[in-house]
Amino acid sequence: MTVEVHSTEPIERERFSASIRRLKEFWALYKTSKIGMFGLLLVLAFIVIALLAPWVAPYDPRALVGRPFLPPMEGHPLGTDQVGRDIYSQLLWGSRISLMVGLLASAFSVAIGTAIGLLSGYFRGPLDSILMRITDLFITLPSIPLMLILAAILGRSVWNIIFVIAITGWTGTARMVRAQTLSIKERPYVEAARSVGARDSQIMFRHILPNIVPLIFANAIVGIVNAILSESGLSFLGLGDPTKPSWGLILRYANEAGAMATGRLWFIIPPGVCIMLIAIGFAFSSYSLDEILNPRLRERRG
Amino acid sequence: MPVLEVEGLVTHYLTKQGPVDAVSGVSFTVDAGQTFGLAGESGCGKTTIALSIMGLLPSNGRVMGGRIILDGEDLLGKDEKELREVRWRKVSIVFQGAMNALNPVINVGEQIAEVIIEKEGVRKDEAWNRVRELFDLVELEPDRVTDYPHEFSGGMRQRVMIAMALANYPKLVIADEPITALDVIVQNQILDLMKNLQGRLNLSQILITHDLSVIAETCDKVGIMYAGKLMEYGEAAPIFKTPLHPYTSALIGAYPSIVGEKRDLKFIPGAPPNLINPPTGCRFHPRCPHAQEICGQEEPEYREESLGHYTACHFVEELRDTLRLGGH
Repeated sequence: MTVEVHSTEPIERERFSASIRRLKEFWALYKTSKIGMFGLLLVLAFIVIALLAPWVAPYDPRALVGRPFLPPMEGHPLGTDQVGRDIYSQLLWGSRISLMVGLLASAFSVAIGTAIGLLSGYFRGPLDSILMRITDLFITLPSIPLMLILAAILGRSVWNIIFVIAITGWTGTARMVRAQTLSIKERPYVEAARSVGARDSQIMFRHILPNIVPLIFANAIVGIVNAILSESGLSFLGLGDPTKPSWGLILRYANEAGAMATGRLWFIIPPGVCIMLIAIGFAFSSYSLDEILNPRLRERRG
Repeated sequence: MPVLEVEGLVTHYLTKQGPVDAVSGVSFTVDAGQTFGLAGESGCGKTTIALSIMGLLPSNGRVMGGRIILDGEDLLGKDEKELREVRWRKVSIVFQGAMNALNPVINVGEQIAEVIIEKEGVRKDEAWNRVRELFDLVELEPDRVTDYPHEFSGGMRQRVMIAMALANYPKLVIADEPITALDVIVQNQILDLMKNLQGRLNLSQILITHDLSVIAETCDKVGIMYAGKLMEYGEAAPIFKTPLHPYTSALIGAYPSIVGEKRDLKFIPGAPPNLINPPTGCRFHPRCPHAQEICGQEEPEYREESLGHYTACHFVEELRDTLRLGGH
């Protein structure tokens, strides 16, 4: 065996360029999906708005800047609400709350679900039974009343909303991850890893988890949509943080002010459309992500 | 000097219907630098023997008796921690079905490097250098160590599996159906490679297969298994030339021969028995064309018929000429 000795550096470089290559391949596939690109553009647009809100919003969303109930006019593109705050500024700032709640709540619930599903599916036995019964419990709990109660008990803050959404949203992920873990655990390469002497933690995190990342990813994006919708609902019901403008909160003000009855559609439609667009954006991206990450669907695209 | 001695190995699987007598009283030795071929129909206990040696039986598998001496150490007396020391360093396995034995989301070099680091605690760069050496050894391009399993063909993946089995330079490699899912040309390449490696590394091998032609071509010694027992065991050449057991003869008759005249292939009627209730007497008697009354009543003695050539049949002498002529 006379092979010249290499240092690891070229291997690391090789691996880096290999992952860049794979990323490019992924992007090339993603680009071909019109729906996916549309979704991605929507999401990116909202991210840009959220990041630039302090600079593009004409007013502080909480400041009283005009007479109440102004119709759309110069300086106030969407008019003002019942106490004279600029609706347009609230709308721009609201994207921050929606995105933040969506991303964080989804991340937390997916993290909880993945941990529980992985442990449950990997170890089976009594641990599995206990964890799955807890999951069943959370599945059977009616989530909206639970959210209302938790939100009411915990008080009105964005973090509580995130906590409430995460704690009620992890069950589906847990079940799916558990099912996948059960299946992957029996694959020959896991057995091979065990025969070589890999420990439980190594098998779980090195061999099983990477294989379910696509599933977790798809779940997370669906979770973002759910979280955004839940946040709007909770805010609309008055359980959100009253100091932070969100689209649900605008709708709540609109409802309180009887905007529908008085025909002030500029008060209702923009936040509603924003909620819809951001949900569609994530849903469409997830749709084409799924098509790419799931080889069976990819084949069908041809 | 034998590398591996298996003596009277008995392995059971505990099931709800009762214990499955998967391996009952199997003995063989594998000498240094030699290849031992284990042949038989599906479900006759070949893989169970391999897993018993590796200490990797599924949770309902139990070794009930016998001894497994590897390189002077009795493996059956060892606990899991001690077995970990032995596995891969002294004996490794090329798993059945290379397509599935590699993790699809980790590049192959990393999967091998992990084994080396785990077993020897060497530095990362050292392990990666070894991976490149191993790739060179199994005739893969060392630059492909960072590729993922799906970027390799079936034969190349099998080479990767072999490289992984050699990662810690073991004395004995067990190859469980290493070429089953490959096409004939690739099969041949893999067999050549294994033969070549054996010579270079002074490896001992156990080759498990149902393909007798592969065994005839590559093995020094052969064990013919049926329903958990060795029917015949000895040097390869005499067994193929003058089989002493009707089952061996029937197996040979069931394979086509490229040389020699064209003949009809003979299949063996019936199916292997359920090992929860194995047949009484000789386990092959329900399917044996030469079976007589005694075969169902008394178990034939497993004895040495000629130097190093063992078999268990009541009618060795009577059938000697019939079997040699390929009559069954």
